[in-house]
Amino acid sequence: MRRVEKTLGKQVRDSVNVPIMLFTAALLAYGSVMVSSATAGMTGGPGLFKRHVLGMAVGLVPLVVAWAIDYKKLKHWSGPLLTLFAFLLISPRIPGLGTTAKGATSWLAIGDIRLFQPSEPAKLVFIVVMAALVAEYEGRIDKPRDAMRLLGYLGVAIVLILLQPDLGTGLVFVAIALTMLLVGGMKGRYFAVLGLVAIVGVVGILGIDTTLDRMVGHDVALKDYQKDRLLVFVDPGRDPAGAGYNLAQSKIAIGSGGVSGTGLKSGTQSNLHFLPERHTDFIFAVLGEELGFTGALLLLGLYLALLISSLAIAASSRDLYGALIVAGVMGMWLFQILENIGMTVGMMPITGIPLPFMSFGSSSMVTNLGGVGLLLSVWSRRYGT
Amino acid sequence: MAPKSRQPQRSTRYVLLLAVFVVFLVGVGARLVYLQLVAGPAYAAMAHDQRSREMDVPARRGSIYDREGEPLAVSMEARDVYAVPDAVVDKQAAATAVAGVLGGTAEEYLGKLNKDAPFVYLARKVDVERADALKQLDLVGIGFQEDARRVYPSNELACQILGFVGIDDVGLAGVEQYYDSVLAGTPGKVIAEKGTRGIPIPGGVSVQEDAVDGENIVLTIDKDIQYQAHVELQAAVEKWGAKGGSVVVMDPDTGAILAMASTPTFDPNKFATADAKAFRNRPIVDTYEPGSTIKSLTAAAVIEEKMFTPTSAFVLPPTLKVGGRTIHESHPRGQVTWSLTDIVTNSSNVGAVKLGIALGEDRLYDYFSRFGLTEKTGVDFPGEAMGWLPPPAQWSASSIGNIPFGQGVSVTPMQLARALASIANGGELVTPHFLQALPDSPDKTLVWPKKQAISAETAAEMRGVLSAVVTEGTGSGARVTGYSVAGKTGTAQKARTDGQAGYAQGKYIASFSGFVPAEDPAVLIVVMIDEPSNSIFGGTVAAPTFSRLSAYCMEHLKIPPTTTKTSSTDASHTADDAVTGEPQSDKD
Repeated sequence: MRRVEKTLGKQVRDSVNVPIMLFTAALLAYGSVMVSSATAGMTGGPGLFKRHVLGMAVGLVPLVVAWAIDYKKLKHWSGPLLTLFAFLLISPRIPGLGTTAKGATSWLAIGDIRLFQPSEPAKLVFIVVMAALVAEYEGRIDKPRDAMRLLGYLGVAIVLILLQPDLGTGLVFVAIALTMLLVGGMKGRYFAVLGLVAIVGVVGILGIDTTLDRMVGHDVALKDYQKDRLLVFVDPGRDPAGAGYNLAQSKIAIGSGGVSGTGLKSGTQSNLHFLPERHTDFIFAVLGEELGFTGALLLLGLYLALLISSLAIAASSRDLYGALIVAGVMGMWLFQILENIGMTVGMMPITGIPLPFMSFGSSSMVTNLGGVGLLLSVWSRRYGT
Repeated sequence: MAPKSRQPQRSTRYVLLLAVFVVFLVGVGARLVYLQLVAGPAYAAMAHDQRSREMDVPARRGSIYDREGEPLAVSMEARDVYAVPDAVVDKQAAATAVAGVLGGTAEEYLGKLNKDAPFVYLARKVDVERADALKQLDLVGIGFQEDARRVYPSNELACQILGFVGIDDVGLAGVEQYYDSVLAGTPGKVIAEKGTRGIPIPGGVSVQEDAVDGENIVLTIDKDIQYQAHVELQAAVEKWGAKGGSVVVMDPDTGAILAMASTPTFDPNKFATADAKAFRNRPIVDTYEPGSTIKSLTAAAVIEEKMFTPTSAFVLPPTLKVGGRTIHESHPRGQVTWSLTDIVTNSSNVGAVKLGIALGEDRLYDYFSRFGLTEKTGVDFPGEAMGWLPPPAQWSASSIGNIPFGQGVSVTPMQLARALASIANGGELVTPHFLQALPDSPDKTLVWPKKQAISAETAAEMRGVLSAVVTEGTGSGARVTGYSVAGKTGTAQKARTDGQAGYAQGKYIASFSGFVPAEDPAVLIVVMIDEPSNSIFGGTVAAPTFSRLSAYCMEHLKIPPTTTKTSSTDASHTADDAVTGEPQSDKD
């Protein structure tokens, strides 16, 4: 009797990773405060905040489910998971299911009610499937053929996402895959080649697309707004009232925050609607304005702590597969943090990528909490059976 | 072998991953130091700049009164109703509610609410009562702004004189336009903090400059005379089946315009839906060939030059050939011997040409210039036109054969009234004007320049000649019971408007211009009827209107009667006026 209790107690204690849970909870609390502040001046603000809280509550479900499932079993589910992955990415294209907003068909909806973005949970499915593939090479991806094969899987996923078209999410998948390939032992030389190919590719695609648009006479392939965002990043003064407007307003917001900020709900940039998408993609600008440099450093510190805790879990994993799953989740967070904060301060081009645990948006919230679940699943089973 | 070499490699890569993030954190940190700490104050200033807007606070526009203090144009407090479409939750319900209070259809408002704009006006210059009623409904996303609405209490009365103001309270026509700078005042300025949608932030308004309200102005117009002129003109236009007409009533001594009417009219309260043709203040902006009326100026010139007196006799042949062109009388007659007075009273074309030839081209031109036919009158009204009188160097051989009786020369009725006023007032060419006083600027003295055109003696003699026109000649229809009347008829053919030279067949302007009482005139009246269809003669068409309007003015201005004998205004024995233009012998 006493032995069983002790074992159960130890089992629970073994499953709990205090740092990751603590920092996740802290980020969620911080995010709630900011979303509440950002939506205060909006029509339907309280309703939006309720939806944010609801998103967190719903997110606990995938967290607990992923935690409970032994991640090692997922290795054998690659077939069904791949099917699920493809379905998720194609689903917005299915008539009656999908809806188009701001030029991208990336939402599932019933009528006018947008339910969620299937590309968000697809990230987790991608991580799990990709981890199984990369793990096969046992930490040594040193043949060009192997690297090509793995990048080929990534390519298929990217093509599916670009069909929506959602450039930002596509980049998240690239980041996830690269992180996993890094941890999975791909040769450094391949990364260098890949980087070169990417640069040549981007410049080439922009050039070809512009020529194509000109030849056809209207906008084909890449949307003009997507190109604009990239070009504005290179030259922000290019179009201050158009694509550069978001960036300019974001910088004004963050800059006017100063050391300690204007105080919650007192950011004039955000409350007066100068700042677009302030409770979603530009939540960091609201934070920068209202809580200043101090508040921004606190957030960056929390993210650093989250990532270090994640690395600790990866290092604790008893197999490469588990480490790769953790690496994928980390890659997802790392890139989104990097891109989202980077764009609000003008270091990265503007894309519609939410800030993990902070931005309003249930799809992303549910996905990130699911990611925490995967981490806990790996942690729980570090001693193996 | 594998695990050993793999394990350290993997941790190296974890470090690499962490390093990527740390490098990024350092980068972002540095960026934040720059944005928030170094450039922070500059960005804060930019944020302040873009949320504060300098806004004009409208000044109250001054009112326009007639000489008796009757309001002709006033500004009423009003409200603009606007919407922030994004903030309106139930657009259909809001549109229906707004339509219910403000009038109009729900569809009309729904269309505005569905616009993809941050700010739309639902209605401008709404009654305060209605706006308040709408405010009671507490509709989300619908706001109110202070504004003022220009109201013309007398509707179409004096509409062409007053003009109107546009939606932004800027005078667009008439006196409203001419005296806009006086009436408008100076808008005040406030600095208001506003969001991107242009809505002021409550409590974020600071006054920089107070608005200075516009000044009131008093016009020389007499509303009662204006009304009478308006009614008489409408009646005459209708009676004679005319295309239009105009009336000027002026104080000949000062140039103060007591009334000025034109048809067609419009309602300045609804100017936006009116026919723009009705906006024309015809006595000032339209020119016409004056015809016989101008014979009085020709006659005045020869008297002033002391060449002839009113009783000088002239032998007049039935027709006269000048410069290859034959001058006819409108009513063929044999050879006669007429005095200068007879020439004017019978409106003899041949006689007028004889006077003109006696003067010579240069002197004729000089006198017409002295009477103001080669300059604008200087009336305080926008868009004044000037007639056409070329200098003698440009005259043809036959010009001296038609200019003396008003052909080949054009004037505005205002120019004509001013010229005749000099005969009425003892020789002074006055500046016609509408502005009587600036009650809010009592220190400002209004100066209306005058200049001597002819001597007082000549003017007096001409008043006698023009009295004869009414007592014995073509103007008998202009008689006024109890008062002596002086004046001159005019029946002029209209020039063709199709681009061809010459006169339009059957299109005339019938006029009567004169003053009462003849000896010491109190009012000068010009009546013009454009394209009458039932009769064409000024003595028949325009003189009776002149007579009735004069009688009204005498009574209204309490001018004591000057004669005791009753004279008939019955036009049955009116002698017909000379027709200037192509010979009309086949017409009568």
